[in-house]
Amino acid sequence: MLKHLVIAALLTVLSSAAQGLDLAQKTQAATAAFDAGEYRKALDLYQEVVASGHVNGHVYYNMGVAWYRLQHKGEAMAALLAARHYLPRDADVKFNLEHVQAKISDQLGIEMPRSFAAALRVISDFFTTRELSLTALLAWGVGLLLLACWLFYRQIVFLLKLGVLLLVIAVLSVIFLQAKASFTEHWGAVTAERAPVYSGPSEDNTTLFMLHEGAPFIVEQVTDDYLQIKLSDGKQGWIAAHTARALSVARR
Amino acid sequence: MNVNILTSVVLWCWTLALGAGSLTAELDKNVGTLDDQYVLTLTVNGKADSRPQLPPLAGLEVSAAGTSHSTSWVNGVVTREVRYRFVLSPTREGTYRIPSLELEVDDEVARSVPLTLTVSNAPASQQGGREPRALFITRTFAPQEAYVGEQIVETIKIFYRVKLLDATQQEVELLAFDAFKLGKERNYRQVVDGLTYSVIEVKRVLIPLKAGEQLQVPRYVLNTVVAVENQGRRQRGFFDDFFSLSTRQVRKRVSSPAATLKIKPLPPPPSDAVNLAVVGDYRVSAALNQKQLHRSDSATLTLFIEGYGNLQGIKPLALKFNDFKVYADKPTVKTREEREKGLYSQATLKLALQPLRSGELELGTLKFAWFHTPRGAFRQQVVELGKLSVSAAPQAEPQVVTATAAETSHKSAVAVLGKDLITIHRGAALQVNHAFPQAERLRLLGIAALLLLVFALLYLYVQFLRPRALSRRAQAWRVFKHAQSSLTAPEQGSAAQLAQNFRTFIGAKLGLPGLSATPREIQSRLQEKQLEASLCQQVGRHLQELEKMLFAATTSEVKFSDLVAETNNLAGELEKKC
Repeated sequence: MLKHLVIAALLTVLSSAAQGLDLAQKTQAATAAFDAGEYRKALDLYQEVVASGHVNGHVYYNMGVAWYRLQHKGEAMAALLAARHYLPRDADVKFNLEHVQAKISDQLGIEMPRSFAAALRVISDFFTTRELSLTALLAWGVGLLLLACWLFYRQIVFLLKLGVLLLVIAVLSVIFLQAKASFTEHWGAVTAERAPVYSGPSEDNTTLFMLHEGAPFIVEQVTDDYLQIKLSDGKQGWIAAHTARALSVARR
Repeated sequence: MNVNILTSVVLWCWTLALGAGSLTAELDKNVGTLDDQYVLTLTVNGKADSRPQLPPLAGLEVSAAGTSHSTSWVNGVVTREVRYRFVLSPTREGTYRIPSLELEVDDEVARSVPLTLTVSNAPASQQGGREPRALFITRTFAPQEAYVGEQIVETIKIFYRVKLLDATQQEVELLAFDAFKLGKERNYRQVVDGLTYSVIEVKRVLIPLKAGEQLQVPRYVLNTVVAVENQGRRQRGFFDDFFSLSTRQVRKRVSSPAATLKIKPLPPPPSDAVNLAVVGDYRVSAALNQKQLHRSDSATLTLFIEGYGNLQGIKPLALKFNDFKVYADKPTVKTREEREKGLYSQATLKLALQPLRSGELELGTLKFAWFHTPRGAFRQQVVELGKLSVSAAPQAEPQVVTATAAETSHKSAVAVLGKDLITIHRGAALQVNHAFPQAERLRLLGIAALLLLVFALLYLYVQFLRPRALSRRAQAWRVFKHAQSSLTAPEQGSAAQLAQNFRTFIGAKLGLPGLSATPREIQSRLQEKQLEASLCQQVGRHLQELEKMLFAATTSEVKFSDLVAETNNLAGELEKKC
């Protein structure tokens, strides 16, 4: 029994290592292709990486740059918006996003106007969900450890104070996590040259307005063929899924 | 008692059942002038399932003026009454007949009596020509003739010599004009035909939307409530306001005379100038935000248009320059109201200029045209735009120019700009998985819960299961520190407490009754704990000093404060080592 377990564990480790090796090879090949000016090839490799289930903001960022080199502003905008989702503090992502935004014909923002209720987002947007979760767990664990030590060495009041402080940090992190979960925005962009926006999820509905390639939007709801979107100027509607891309949204 | 109540209820029901419903109609006056408004009150006595409806009355504008309910109980008879008030405003003279109205009240059809209203053409005061007018409106237009889009300042003056309790402008749709109110009303006094009137002056700007020889400006209509003397008919009530004794409120509608304006169409604009498509007295200027830029950057050309007129509808300009790609921004317009001259507008039109090549690029001059109202003709102004010094973009720019020089399509322009992006990310950062799936979240949550559980178990152990000796030892220092903090002055009581604190602490640490142990016993127990001999001797000597202070303070040569310090010091040492 033990022998089988060891073999299974070894196989898992080896499989993970092989996957990691494959991933590293693909990203290196993609980088080399990009440097050689073969943007399409680089994109194919990056897309293979994404299709394998590997989620990485830097990969989306590189895809955005490659798409832009291929003169696809919409795809570039969608990839850079996805990169921002995972790398909210990355200056390169911010710079390139603003650059692409300046080139699109629709005068739309890539940030939604902040309301008072969403003030918590200032901090929660600054960190990713993973960062906040790990911070909460670390502060929680160390805080409890310090309090446990204090139970035996009560004369060291510093242990108590630091432990409580860390627990407070953990609780705050959980609050920010909750705020992030409540206010998370999944951004996408129009990839077609022109895309009509409808009042409902079908072409039979009223055409409200037209969006052009690269126009950024927030995805509010996803169906098989349509995305319910909201623009930075408050307009809302439904757009055909094949005319737009939202990479940070898990499609059904 | 019960019989009386029952009787009352039965009587009440009976009166309700027998009380026949009624519908009455009443006019506040049935003779008046066109300036008057007439209040029709329909009173429903009893229970009605619907509201009384007035049929269309030709020549009378009807507006609802509220509903009031009342219930009264007089001599056991309950009366429920609902009053519906309507304001009737005649639009022409004549005799009007308000027909009998029907309504189902208390399951029976109730009918009102028909009413007659006689409206004469002009106020009685004006017809006779003897009495001066108490309330009238005049208005003037400047200019009387205008062009389409030109602003016309309309001055409306409301003259009154009566107590004006309320005045509301009746909304009239100005089909051929846009209207903007100019500031607040002005109030002053003015003498007309030797009589002093109070005047409310209202100004507004009319912008004609179409041309016409006699374009009608609808009347300015004001619905007012004025106080009119009762002429001694009404008795003063005990609760009446002292000053409102001899007056009553009367609704009056006054309107200005109808007016027509001649609105001329605009002549065709000059073909050799950029038509701004605005009308007014403006001046135009332009400014570039920078003179030098890189090929990959863009400059902003800002056009300022300001002057008297309405610029709200100005559209972005479709300008073309040979060496630049132009992106027009949405114009921004600010408008200020000036009572005498009308609207003063400022429009800012921004154009982003993206150079298509390097070098000294001349923007040259542009001739703008707009319809200049003071002259009654199109005015043209030449604006110097200057030039831009465009330097080559850093790196690789020459190759791009050669590659894209032949093609000037939108796509190739993007290819050039694409070089401005920060390049791709490399290395191990790409290997990190940024996904944070639900399973991982649950795992972290599980770890957090596990840690909490461990802590809780530890706490329970320390609180309830840990050997008392260990617990006592662990808490000895805290108890000692707490007790020491209450020591204040070198008194007998304080010395006793100091000794007690120290002995209790040592007792807790060594697991013996510290208060009753002798210094020698304590010293020997400390030695058994493998503590340094010097520390053991120090503790022994200190215990002796404490006893001297306690029992023979006069023989002790040590100060109390020094004893306290030494006690704290020794306790600290023991806490660390024991």
